[in-house]
Amino acid sequence: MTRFYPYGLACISLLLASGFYLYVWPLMPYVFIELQTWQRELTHSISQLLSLAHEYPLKALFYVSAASISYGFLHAIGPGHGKVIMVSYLSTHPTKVKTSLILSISAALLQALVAIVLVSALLFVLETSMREVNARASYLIDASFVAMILLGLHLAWKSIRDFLKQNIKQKANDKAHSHEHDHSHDYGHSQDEHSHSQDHDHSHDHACGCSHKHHASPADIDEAKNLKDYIGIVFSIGVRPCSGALLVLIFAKSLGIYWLGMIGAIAMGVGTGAAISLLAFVSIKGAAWLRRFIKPASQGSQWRELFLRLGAASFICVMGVIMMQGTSLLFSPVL
Amino acid sequence: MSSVIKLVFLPLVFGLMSLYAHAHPHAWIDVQTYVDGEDKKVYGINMVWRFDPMTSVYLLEGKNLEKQQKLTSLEEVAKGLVDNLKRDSFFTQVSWNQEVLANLDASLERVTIDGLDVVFSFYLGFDEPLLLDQCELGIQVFDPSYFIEMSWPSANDLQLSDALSSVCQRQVLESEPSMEQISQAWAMPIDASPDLTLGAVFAQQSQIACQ
Repeated sequence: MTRFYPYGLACISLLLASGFYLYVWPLMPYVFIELQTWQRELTHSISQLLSLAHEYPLKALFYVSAASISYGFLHAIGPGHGKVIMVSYLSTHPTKVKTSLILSISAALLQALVAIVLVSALLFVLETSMREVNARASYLIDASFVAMILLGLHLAWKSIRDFLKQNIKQKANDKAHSHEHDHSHDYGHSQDEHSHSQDHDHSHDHACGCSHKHHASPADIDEAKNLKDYIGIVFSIGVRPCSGALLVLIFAKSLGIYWLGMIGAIAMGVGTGAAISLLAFVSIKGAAWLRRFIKPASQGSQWRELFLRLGAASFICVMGVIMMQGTSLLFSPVL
Repeated sequence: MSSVIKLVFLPLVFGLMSLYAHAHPHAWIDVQTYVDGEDKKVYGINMVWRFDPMTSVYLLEGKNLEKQQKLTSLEEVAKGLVDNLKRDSFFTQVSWNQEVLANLDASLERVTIDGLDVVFSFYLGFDEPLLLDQCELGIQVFDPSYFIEMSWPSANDLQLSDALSSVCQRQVLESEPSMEQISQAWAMPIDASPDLTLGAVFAQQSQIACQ
């Protein structure tokens, strides 16, 4: 029975892909234009609300927060580097839903925080001009793409390392999917994977055989084990300040209501976090659903896993490179 | 099987990548255009650009807007805009007689503040009047890099002078980019080709024809 699964899976994927290609893809320009119109209208309302804040502070607070959350959400539906990272990672690395939510929200809030720190430091501490902020923001944006490339390389290296380790281990004891460990030295960790400390990441050169379980259910995944990945993900998403947040802060500063700008920036982060969480949830569930069709722990599945993970890692890398070539100024240089 | 994968997934991945590679606009300009001329002859174009509030703040930053200084400050802003926009032909593409007019020059530039918006107006005069008895006149207003989205909010925002409108008609066509066009435009570096840039893909097209 199980040997029909790959064919069933191929059929379903093919149908889904062709349906997407035929019916959803041609609609993309319209979706994109529609999103842009919304964004424009929200930007306009936010500016108007901010300008009324001196007269009606409480109402402005409420409406600015509401509009900013929507802005953050809609903005995050559009194209962005955060989604590339999240989807690529989560669909190829089983992760707990809760973890993915924490990742999404901390990345989005870090984005808001970076925007606030950047604008505050430049406008209040250094008293530079917005033109300076515009130029500086592009450094952070570039840093984010460099971080993306590094994250991709790290994930690729990790997937190859795990693959080799598992193969060596399998050859050694000829037991597929063994949970036993073949410690050649003592790093102070027990047989139980869950007790691995962060040191794990530094001990890879020693072929200690503390392999990742490629077909572990999300519940089995050790959080600490992937902490480095998580920090990399949150950092590479979060270090790029949300352009909307920068605009709101700069605008609020010019109206003398910087506090409301900060609230707006955080609200945008919340909206962005919600959108990324939603996407993260879909990626995890989709990947889990697909995995049900894959026969566990065969030689072939290891190869498949390796290619999937390498694919995801190189996708993150390539996107980082592509994005770095784009312009990353907030305002057009002609203005 | 591999050919199926190529057929289905490659355009998908390619399309997605080009989508992600693009920075969408965060600045908007509402454009009003008055075409100046008479009797099938067009002398120039009068532009009124209204910037969105956030971009307006950026434009006015560091300028002294106290009463005595305000006029000179706004003149500075207007001059700065003209200087910067000259390289980009004032984001205005005028096609006439199967050619795109080059070296447009602006005069009468003026910046005012209306509520939260900066309003920038200027006049683009042509070296010689363009005769429209044989051919149509096409006007497009767009930022090729698509940093700024520019549009005529309604067809009425493109107006012909009274002396022109008695013999000529105008038409504003909305852009309807296809996915292929979008991916093609986004896959290109911003200054790669003058014919196909991201801004052009999303630009409205206007036509003025006279009987």
